[in-house]
Amino acid sequence: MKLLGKTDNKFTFEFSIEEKLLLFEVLKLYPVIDPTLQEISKSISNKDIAQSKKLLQEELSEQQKQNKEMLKFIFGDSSCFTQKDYYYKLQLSPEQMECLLQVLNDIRVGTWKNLGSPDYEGLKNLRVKRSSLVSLAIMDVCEYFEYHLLEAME
Amino acid sequence: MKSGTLPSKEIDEKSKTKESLEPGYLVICWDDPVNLMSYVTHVFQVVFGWPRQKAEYHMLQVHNTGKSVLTRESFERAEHYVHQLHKYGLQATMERDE
Repeated sequence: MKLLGKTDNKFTFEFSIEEKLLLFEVLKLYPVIDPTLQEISKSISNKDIAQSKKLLQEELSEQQKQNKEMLKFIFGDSSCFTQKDYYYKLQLSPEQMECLLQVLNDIRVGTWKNLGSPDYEGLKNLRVKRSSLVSLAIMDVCEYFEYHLLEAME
Repeated sequence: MKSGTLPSKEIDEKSKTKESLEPGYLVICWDDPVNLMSYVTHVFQVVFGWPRQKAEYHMLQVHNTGKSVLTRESFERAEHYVHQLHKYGLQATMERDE
C-alpha cells in the first residue's frame, strides 16, 4: 500500500493484488466490537450511568450500521478500486478515510477484546493456539492498513 | 397533595440539573496495548479539536503513565466525549472529580 498523491478532498493509493485481497477479507469481519460490553466508568455506579450506557450502545450500533453502508459504497458496485496492470488504485475522500480507519480499528480492538483483552504481559505470554494465531494475524493486517492511512493523513 | 409535592420536585430537578451542568466529571483515557500511538493522537485531534502537540502530549501520558485526564466537564459533556472516544475504540471512562 503506497500513497500516490493527495489533494484536499482525495487520497490516491496503490494496492498490490495481495493487499487488496487481505483488505477485503479483513473488512468482512466488521463489526467486531460488541456495543453491549462497553464500560464507561470505573467508579460511578451502574444505576447512575445505566441510561448513558444504553445511549452508547445505541450510538455504537448506529455508527456500525452507517460504516457498513459506507463500506458497501466504497467497495461495492461503485467500487473506488480500479485495476492498473498488476496493481490497484484506490481513491478515497477524507470522510471515507476516517470511516475506513474506524472500521479497521474496530476489527483490531474487537479481536483483541475477544482474546480476553490481554495487557502487554498477557500478550507476551499468550499461548499461541491456532485460533489466537489467526486473531493476531488479523490484528497485524489491520495495523498495517491503519498505519498507512494515518501516515497519509499527516 | 399535588401542589404540595411540586416544590420538592422542582428543587430536586433544579439540583439535579445544577449537578449535571457543573464540571465535576473527568474524562479519562486508559492505556491498552492495541491502539496505535498515532491513532490515539489522531482521535484526540478529531474529538477535542486539539492541535497535534497537545494531542501528542496526552497520548504520551496515556502510554507512559497508564492514563490521562483529558478534560473536566459537566455530566453531559463528559458523557458525550466518552461516547465519542468509544466510537473510535479507545478505552475511555468518566469519573467524578472528588
